[in-house]
Amino acid sequence: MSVSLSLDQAVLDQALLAQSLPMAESNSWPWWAWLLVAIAVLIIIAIPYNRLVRLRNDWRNAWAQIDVQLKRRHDLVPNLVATVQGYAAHEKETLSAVMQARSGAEQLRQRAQADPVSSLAALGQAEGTLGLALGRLYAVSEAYPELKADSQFAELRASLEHTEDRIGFARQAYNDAVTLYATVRESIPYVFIASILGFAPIPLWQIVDDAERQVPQVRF
Amino acid sequence: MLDFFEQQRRARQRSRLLLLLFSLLVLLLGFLLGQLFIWLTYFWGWHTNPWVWHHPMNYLWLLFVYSSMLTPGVLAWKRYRRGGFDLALQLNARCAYQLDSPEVRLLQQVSEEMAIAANCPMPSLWVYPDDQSINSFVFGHDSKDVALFVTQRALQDLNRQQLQAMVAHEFAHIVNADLLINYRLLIMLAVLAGPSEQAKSLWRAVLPGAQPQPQRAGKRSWLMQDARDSKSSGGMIFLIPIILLLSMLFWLLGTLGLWAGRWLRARFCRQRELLADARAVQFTRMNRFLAEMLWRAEHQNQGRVLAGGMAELLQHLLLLPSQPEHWLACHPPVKERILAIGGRALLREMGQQKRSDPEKAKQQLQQKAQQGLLPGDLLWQAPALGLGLAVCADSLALNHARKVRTALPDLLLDATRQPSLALALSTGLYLRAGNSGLTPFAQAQLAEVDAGAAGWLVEHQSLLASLFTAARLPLLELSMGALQALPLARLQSWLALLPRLDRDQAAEAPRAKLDAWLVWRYLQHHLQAKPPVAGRKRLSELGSPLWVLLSYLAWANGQAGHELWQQLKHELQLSQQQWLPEKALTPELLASSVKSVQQLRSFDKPRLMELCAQIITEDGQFSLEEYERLRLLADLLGLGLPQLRY
Repeated sequence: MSVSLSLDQAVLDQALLAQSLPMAESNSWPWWAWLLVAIAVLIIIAIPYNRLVRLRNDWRNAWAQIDVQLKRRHDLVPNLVATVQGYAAHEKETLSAVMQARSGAEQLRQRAQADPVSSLAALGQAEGTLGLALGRLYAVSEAYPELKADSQFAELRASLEHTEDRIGFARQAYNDAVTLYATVRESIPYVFIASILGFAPIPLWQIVDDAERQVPQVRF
Repeated sequence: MLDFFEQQRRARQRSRLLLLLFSLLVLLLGFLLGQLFIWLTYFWGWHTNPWVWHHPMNYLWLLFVYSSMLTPGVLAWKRYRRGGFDLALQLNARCAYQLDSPEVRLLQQVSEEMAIAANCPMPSLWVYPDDQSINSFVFGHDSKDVALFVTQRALQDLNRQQLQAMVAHEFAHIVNADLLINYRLLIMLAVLAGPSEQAKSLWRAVLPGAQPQPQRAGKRSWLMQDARDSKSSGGMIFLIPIILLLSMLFWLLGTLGLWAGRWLRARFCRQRELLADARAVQFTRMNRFLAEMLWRAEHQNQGRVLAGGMAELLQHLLLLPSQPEHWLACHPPVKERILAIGGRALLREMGQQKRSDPEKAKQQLQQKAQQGLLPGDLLWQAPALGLGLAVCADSLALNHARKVRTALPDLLLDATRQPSLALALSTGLYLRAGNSGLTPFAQAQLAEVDAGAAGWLVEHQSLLASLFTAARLPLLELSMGALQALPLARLQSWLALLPRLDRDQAAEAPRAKLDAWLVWRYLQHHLQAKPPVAGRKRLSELGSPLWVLLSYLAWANGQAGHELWQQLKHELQLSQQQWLPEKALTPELLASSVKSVQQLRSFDKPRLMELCAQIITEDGQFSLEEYERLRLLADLLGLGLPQLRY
């Protein structure tokens, strides 16, 4: 009798233990609370992530604008050289310097399409060199009145100058976008997650050639 | 250095706050009106307990009020849904891509540059020719139908950097999404205006005297009609005082809400303008040119408002509104705007420049008179004008009108702002151009058109007679806005009258007659605007009309050089051996020549103006008469002034 009673007691204890297990678990968080926490964490990460993505796309778009204008500039240069060649064929040194600078800049531009961050400084320098070579070409053209009077030359020169203005504004837009990106990236809470999520710092497009910094002298 | 990013952040915060306040105001007004209805129905015994919030009657009234407020909002949404292209058609603006002039090409260039700097698509560009102010605005809802409008005067008077600053400001509005915000504000304002408009409709329903004029004659309000018809059977006459009371309360609340809304809109739009200015500086990196442009536009636009029926709608979109000092103006004062973009030093500089002008001008005047470049004996007849003359003589080529204007007597400036006096003043200037006085015949004729104008002209004809040529064109230009406000019929009868005013005068010198004709033609051209003629003729195909026109300019100084004619004759392939003699020049001949020359293709027009400039500067200097003739002809041909080298 007592055995059966003890057995019953054991069964009863087991049953009670089985029932008490969920009661013991009820002191920890329910599954939906964990889900809510996970969603909250996701949102906390997603909002800054989305903002960083938007800003990254902004500077990439600004970079694409620079690329478009540089392409336009590089396309105009051979036409200009061809026109000058018709009047000043013996200025070979100047003309070949322009073409060399142009092809160097074009190669770097194509490389920068794939990886703008690492090619930026070199491209800036190459564009500076091209600008200097073009400056020398314009100086040479002053010695040829017929060339100066050529309407095609004047038109190409005006187009190039207009394109250079456009490059200036595109560069400005790019620097603005990069500055905003850097400001956000280095602020709290973005600074904690930016590097982990792969948002690297981006350099500004700075003038690398001292000659370009100089204010042009205009004489009448 | 101006921290334009910080400036933008602050302006954006304030804008958000104001938009929130606007929405709260709409909600509050709806709630108050709903409560009004609830309590009125309670007092009439149709409502059991208004203190119980979830009573169905409460929801019903609130639903009714909000839906009746939203209806005008929906209507406004439909009304203002038109994009930039539709607006351009309504304003009779000209697409910049169809025009070929240096100014328009410059506009295209700076717009392309700003589109790159702002990193946004190019809007369509439109030139608004019917406006005499320096102004611009953007209109549209999304990037597909945004249109940028610039007035012709802005293209003519602003230099490249100033035009760039103006365009940058408009691009800033596009980038800041102000177009959408303005659109929302218009709708919200319509929502707020709804209750007071409905109250007025109720009045009209009750009171026959409140009917609009065309509907009033022979009609009675439907409620009075109902009340009278049903008087025998008990009627609804008791409803009239109730509806009146209701509508009065409705109107009171609605009007309060509307004024509060207008005030909020003004505050809101001011913030957006400051934000757009800050962003324009970001795009151009130069606050100086924006400040200069604003300063210049403000001083040049006084008394000039945007023409056309859309003026009220466009007020808050404009670069500068017509009433900048009004407490409900949607733009901050120009000084505040310049200070906000860090232009304190520039403001001081411009103020000093303005203060130092009279002394400098006086010295220049004396120098010019001593050199014989100006007829000094005439200058002192109207000292104030003499001052302006000196200033304009310094840079006649570009800023003629604006600078003379700063020295004009207040009496004449006031006259240019009032339609009747502007009419008198213009008549006086016309007679002065023809060396005619105000005869009794002319006085009687003018009195038939406008008695007040005739009286003013009699009183001030001695002052007008002492005016120097330099003041004539600026005064006419300034009077244009006021003249355009006159009824069309009166304007036409006055224009028809002008050539007859000096008919009983003795035969005048041909030059004076020609100048009077030119003034009349100028007035007619600007007051009866016609679409520009699309010319196809080449310069070398014009022949005799060109000969007449060039001769008119050549004789402006009283003598015409033979060598210059030989040179021009060769270039223009003209068969005539000499200038047309001065005596042969008549208004009729000049009229037909101008008409023919207007057929010139746009490509050749700048060259024609260069030739004209060459003629008047042949002797190394030019007189005011020559300059005025050139300027008027340029206006008639729809061309800008060429650079004068002398």
